[in-house]
Amino acid sequence: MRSARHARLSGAPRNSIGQGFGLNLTPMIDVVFQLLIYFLLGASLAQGEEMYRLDLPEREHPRVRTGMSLTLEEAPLTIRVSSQGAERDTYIISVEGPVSGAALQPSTAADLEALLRSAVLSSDHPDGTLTRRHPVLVAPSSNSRWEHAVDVFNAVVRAGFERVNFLPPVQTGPELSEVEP
Amino acid sequence: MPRLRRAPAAIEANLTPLIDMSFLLVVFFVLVSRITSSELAPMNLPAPNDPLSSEPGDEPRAVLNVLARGDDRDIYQLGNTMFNGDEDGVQLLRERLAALYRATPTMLVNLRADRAVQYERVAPALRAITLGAADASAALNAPIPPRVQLVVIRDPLQ
Repeated sequence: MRSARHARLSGAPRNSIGQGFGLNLTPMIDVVFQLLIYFLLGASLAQGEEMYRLDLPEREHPRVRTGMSLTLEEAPLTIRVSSQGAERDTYIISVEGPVSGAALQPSTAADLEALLRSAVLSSDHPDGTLTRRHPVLVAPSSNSRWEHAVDVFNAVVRAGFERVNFLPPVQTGPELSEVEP
Repeated sequence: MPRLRRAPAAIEANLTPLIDMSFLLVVFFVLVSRITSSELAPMNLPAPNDPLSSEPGDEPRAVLNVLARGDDRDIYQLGNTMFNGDEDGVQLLRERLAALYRATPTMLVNLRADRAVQYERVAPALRAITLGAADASAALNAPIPPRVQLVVIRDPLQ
């Protein structure tokens, strides 16, 4: 009697014969928590992978003349990379192109970034000789580790250059047949 | 004749179909995540210092893995298909990429290469992407730009 009065006072819903009823939400809450845990774990596993955009030069097929192929109207800045070991930062960088101080051979990716930043024309460097749209080619040697090539690529992108690409190695892997005319 | 009185009936919502559907959804997402993760070969991705990379978008994409192996066998993995690192394997990779480009001309290729892979293994993959896009471009008689995304990992300690 007391519980019925309590239910009436608390405003609980009542059916036509005066008995209180309620939804059993426990299974639903269980399932929702399971889903929550699943998505949290999935999100944490996928965390960390990120992307660099790399637009490869478009190879113009003889039958598809678009005139949109990348043409290097300016002498590109070429940055050669050669791994010297399996450790991080054990590689040699050399810069070839219209950059003063290029012969200094930056020893790390951070030095390379500083050198390139000083060469980019901006409000901070009004005497810079290169625009951000100047083509830059990263040229790793055939036996260079991929992480060293990506380190240099990241340094170039961080310096502000927008047209960065990779050159084929000097000793290429299996050669592909060219597009038939 | 005495009139029988029914016992008061308890009214409850039947949550069983909801729970059934919830479990089906869980099974569906688990299966989809397994299919998706099978495209991502386990490897040590490059982790550059303070990378200027960005989070992946929702564009249609194919995943091309370049694995670190001692020999030429099964160097490249496109989706769930393996390709050798020799000339024939790279040619098959190019043809497979061309077929994907024909089906989805705006496709991005996510290039995942192990940090220890030598560049002579990565360069043929880049070239196969370029030529695969050119083949599809010729087949469709429309320009198809070979768009690549280099996949790196952001070190959580940085």
